[in-house]
Amino acid sequence: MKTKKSIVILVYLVLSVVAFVMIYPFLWMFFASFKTNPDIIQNPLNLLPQKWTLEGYRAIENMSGYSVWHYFKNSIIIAGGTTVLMVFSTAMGGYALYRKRNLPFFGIIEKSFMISLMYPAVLLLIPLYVIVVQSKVLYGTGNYLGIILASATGAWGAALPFFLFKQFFASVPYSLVEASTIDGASETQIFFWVICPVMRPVISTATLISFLTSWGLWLPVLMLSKDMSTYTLASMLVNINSELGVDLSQTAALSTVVTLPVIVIFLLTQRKVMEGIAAGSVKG
Amino acid sequence: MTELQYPCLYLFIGIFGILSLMFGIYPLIKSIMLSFHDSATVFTNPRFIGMENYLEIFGDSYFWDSFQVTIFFTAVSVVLNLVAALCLAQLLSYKGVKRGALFFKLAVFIPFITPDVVGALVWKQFFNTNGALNQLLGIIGFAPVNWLNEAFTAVGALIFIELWKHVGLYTIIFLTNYQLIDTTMYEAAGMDGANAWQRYWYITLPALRPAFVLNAVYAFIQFMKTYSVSRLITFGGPNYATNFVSYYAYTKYERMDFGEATAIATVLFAFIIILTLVGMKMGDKGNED
Repeated sequence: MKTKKSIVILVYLVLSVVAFVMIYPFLWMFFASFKTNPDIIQNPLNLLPQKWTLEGYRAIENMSGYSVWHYFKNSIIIAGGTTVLMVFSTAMGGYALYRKRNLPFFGIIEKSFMISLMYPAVLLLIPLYVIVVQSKVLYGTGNYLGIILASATGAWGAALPFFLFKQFFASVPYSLVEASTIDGASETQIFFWVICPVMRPVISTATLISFLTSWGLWLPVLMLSKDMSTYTLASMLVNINSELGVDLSQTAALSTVVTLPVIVIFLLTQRKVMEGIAAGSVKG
Repeated sequence: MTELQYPCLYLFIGIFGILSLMFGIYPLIKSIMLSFHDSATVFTNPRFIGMENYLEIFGDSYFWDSFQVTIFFTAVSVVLNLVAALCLAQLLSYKGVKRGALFFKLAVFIPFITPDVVGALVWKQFFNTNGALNQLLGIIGFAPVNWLNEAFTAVGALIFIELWKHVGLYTIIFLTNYQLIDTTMYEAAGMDGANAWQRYWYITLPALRPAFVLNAVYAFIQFMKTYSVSRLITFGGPNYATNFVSYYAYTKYERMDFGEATAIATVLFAFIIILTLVGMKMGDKGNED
């Protein structure tokens, strides 16, 4: 029993080092957003600014003719729209597959979904680009539709909510549904009056996870936007870093604005998020 | 009576079905079709050219180099992520860790849940020739390393950054599996006189098999498709050292070379799907034993 104390200390030491490596980049980013560019370049090891400044935040007030709030609003619209669509489609789709998985086309739909998870998402965007541009309804200045529809599929974030619901339905006793059919309830009634009430916790978990993962999407946004009217915060962050002569303090400020909402939501709901992601993954 | 109600289920699966077919399988098939056509004619009147795009990429040494570095990157990343996640899960579930256990868990998981572009850009700054890492090396008396400008260290840096980003997910999956282990087995083993290592080797590791299979399959698919870090940090360089297959195909697409881009994508996809199916079959077989 004597050695136990030294082992505990060692474990704490290792975990502290790991935690430091995990968190330090975010701390650095946060403080760098209050530094001047020369300060960031000349003192890479300093965490705190030599002189606090809001230069970085002033630099994101106007990016390519739009304010940071424009990109923030787009992030909310695209992440929000994607989340609603993703949760709605995987919840109802998952239920239909649980209720009668042998109906014609059901198998094909599920297989299509599983296969699309394995295709490199970047490259799926090449034909998607062609499809979205040609459709006209899904593409144009201020048109979010194509971006949201493409982002709500398995190639991006839909795998987790889908498996989460699948996992959940596997735990729902089938007798619950059968008892209702004997009572003469219709399929719609069963879904909305019997299944939905017990689904509430898993729906909130799926919504949370979907929102957190959709918030940072940038590739479908960059590829399926006609112009910057539909750019999100994350895609703008990629955009200002694709050119030469990157403004580091601006980058840090925008990074902070992108990350802060995610970290706040995650810390408030961490239990739900981590358990949900684990549960969703284990079913896959 | 119930027969009449099934159309309702089609309504339920409708949105999911349309999304999966229209934005999942249809572009996938379209992409494979494009790979058999002449790039220049895609938007007007696609001209079928058979295997020409494939012959082109199979004769392209950049493609083979790209495939090689992707497999190397994936192999190292899968092993590293699984080993690191297993160790972290073991440490996090250690009985002696009580105070701060939640803090450590959150710390490990935070890079996974935050937008990937943020982490990539900060690490890019740290690995810069004049960045924090080289300053740190200077203080403890080492020469600076040209991290992102030399092939070997650039691949290493990307492996590290991707480990930082993803290890939290694999750790949480191991941890979930840990909680399912039947603890009475340890008591029985203890009575039989098994030592800590034997218990770990004969009880813990076999019980973690489902998490191993799952994590390995996830990580394999994930890392074979690696694209973002190339695009955000190294742009495929230095000298094509981090020109991963997805990124290489993307650069072809940018040059309007749709035929070759989709041919590369198809080859990568076939490779991933075959190895994944083999892996899952092997994983399943183990479960039946």
